[in-house]
Amino acid sequence: MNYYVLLAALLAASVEFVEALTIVLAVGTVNGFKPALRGTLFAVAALVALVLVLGLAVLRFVPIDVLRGVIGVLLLLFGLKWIRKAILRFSGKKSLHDESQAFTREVDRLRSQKAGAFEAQATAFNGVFLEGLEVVVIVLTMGSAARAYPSAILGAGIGLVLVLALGVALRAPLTKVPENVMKFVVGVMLTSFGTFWAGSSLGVHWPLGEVSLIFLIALYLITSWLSVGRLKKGELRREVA
Amino acid sequence: MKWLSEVYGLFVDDPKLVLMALVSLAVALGLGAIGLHAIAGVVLFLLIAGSIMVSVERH
Repeated sequence: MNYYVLLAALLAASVEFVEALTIVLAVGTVNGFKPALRGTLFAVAALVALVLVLGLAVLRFVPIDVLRGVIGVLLLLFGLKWIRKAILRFSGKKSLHDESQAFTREVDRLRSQKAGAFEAQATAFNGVFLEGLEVVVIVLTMGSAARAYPSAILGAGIGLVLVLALGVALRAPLTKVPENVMKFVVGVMLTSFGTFWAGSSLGVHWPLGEVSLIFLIALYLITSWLSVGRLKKGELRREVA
Repeated sequence: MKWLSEVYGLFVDDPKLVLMALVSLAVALGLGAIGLHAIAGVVLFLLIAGSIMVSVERH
């Protein structure tokens, strides 16, 4: 079991599925839970099929060295996107993600559209599928680069079950989940994995092997907090001036 | 072509940051090619970390 991969997949999947749950709950509130759950089931089935087909094809036909290089670069770019957004959110340059606001917005949109059962089902499908696509990218990239598909799939599966269980129990958007912190952690982890694997495939010798990942994670965390601090200071200086 | 922009959006938020990351990887590749394998890792991290800081400052 690769615990780095499991943790990153678990956190990323939880965050994305919390956002998907908000859309499904909004559809359920306006149009009833039958079309909302049907759309969700179809989307989860499509995502599982995508992971199986692409995962098997990649593992079977692409040599591991090439795979680690390409996947490492993709993972790095993916992680940079997450880490950048997280820094901007924590420094106040971008608004923090708020599930209760997202829920209200989605309910208002659905009410104004007066959508039927099919459109409601399609909205739930789109929401879950699009949010789940990021999880598929993480499962595929981390699973193939570390040869740890079971860990990546298990992590994403635990995330899905946790969010589903909480959603069914509460029947309300999961506003208490520290989504923004989780996104920050996932961004740091993905950027560290991407740097490690892309670097390894380009001839970098990491002195402590996979243990270097812990140092990369710590260093990227420090970099992110430094950036947040600098941006906040800059904002404060502008306000004073 | 909508799916193509969806895929692009999955990986790219700030194109300049992506470009800086790719240049950092090219520098690491160059250092590795001339035998500086151990330094390449430190340089790669410093360049990527610098790219993140520049990208968020320019926002």
